[in-house]
Amino acid sequence: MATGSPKMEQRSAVDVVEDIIELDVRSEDDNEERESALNGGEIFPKPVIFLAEDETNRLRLISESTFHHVPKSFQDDWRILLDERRGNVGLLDGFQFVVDRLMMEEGFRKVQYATTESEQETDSVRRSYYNHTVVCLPDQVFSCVLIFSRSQSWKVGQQAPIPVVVIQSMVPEQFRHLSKFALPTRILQSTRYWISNAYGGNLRSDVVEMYRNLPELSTVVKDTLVLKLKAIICHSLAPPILTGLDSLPCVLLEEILLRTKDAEKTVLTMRQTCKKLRHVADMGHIWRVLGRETFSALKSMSDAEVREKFGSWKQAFVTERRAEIEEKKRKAALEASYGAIVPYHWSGFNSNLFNFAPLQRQVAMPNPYANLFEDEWY
Amino acid sequence: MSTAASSSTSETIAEPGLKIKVSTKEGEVFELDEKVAKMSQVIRGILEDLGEQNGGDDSVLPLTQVETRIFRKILVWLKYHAGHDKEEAPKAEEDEIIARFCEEIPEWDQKFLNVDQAVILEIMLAADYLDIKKLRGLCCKTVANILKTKTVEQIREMYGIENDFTPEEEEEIRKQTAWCEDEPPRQGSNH
Repeated sequence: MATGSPKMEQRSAVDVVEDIIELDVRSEDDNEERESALNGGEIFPKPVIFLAEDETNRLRLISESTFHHVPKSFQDDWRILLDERRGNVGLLDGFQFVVDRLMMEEGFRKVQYATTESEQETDSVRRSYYNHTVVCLPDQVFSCVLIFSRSQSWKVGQQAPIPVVVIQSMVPEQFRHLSKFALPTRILQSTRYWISNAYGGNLRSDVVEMYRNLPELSTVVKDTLVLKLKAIICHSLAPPILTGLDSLPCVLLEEILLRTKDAEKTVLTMRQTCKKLRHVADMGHIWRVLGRETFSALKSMSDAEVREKFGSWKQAFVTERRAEIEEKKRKAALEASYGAIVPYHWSGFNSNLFNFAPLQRQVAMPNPYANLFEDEWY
Repeated sequence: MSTAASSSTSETIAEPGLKIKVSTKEGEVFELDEKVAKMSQVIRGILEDLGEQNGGDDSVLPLTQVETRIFRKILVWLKYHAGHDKEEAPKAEEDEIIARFCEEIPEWDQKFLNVDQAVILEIMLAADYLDIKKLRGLCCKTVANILKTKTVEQIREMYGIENDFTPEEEEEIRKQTAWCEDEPPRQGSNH
């Protein structure tokens, strides 16, 4: 298979995937500057597939030889793409093709808001705008424009008659629940890492590998990217109407539950108020934090260890708490029967010379220095 | 993002030396000092993305989810903390969780959040939207402290929560939480 320029071959697979994801994140100037630095003056990586001498292309030939791996509908679309590009299909195109295709299946419609001629020329990869309509509630239908660049939101915002939802990839991980204006990018990140791992060092030079793995790639991209995007857009377009505590986003309810010392009582009380709060209170994360905070035995246990030993963090917490309760009951029963035996040096006094205050219903061990004839000794 | 929010109909509340313009849900425009504005990670992120473009025009960042009355309150909090807070090094996740349990609400913040419950929830939502982590945490902590002392019925009444459980589900939940109900009173450490 023919490849691009030597300069480009030096770049790692991760670089290329990062390009795919992050290409639109920065402003025009930033992008060009970055790409220029990476590619020795080229704005885009060159396509990795070139026309062969006989004016056919190798990708087509290889894809035909591996067609049985790829769903028929994908094959057809891929061929159309090849024809449109006269075989010049690179990884950026390939990945964009997969994403477009999957988003289309989920009701996204690709649109263009390019305003200048030069933008139209480069629009295929760099400008990924999608229209999307979601039904959030039976009587509420929302439409939005989804774009992958905050800087572009200024431009698109003026043209689009409907809300613009922006995906950011330059924000901290904690940035999770911002409505309408911005979306988190953990999903993009996870997709990126998955692809990097899946293709290892071959991603840059092997679009055929991508094609061969299309079914798997499609599944992962759909699960980690497209479906999550839909859910988040739905949340973004239909922000919670504050009618009560239970209308807060789950992430806030979760934080409320974990904000007080001895939060167990709050969690259990909240769990009984309504279905949504029960759902939040049953989340594994809540019980992991509670468990680690409450029981030293759970403090150093990993998720896997807890899963193996208890099944879940909630079960781990309950088991530990039950054991603690049983132990307390046992002690209480013992105390009721015989009275608690409190050695004199444990009775709260620093000195064993003046051990005059054993608690009621407790029997203090005799202080060898005590005067047994004193009235208060018993 | 629209730049039209600075229309002639919107009220501009200008303060000396301020640079960043934001507009609320109602279209009211506020000009904020950069330091104050950047306490919101959302605004900070946008400004960083815009880079050189920022400040050179009349662009207004639309905060479409924040009502003016709530933004005014948040602005008070931001200005106070911009002047009083020291820069803190980011904590590890575990440390942050422990800190969450242990931290007390400072007196000034207690007074600031001594408002109606509904307003606290609205401030919390806005802080979440603007990604002002500290304010969001304070709101959560305040609500959590209130919840700690309330029964199920009191919480429902106080926060307008509808009981959507069937009697069977309630019975099931009661059984599920039975493991902690017969717990003997906790012994204090001061016996």
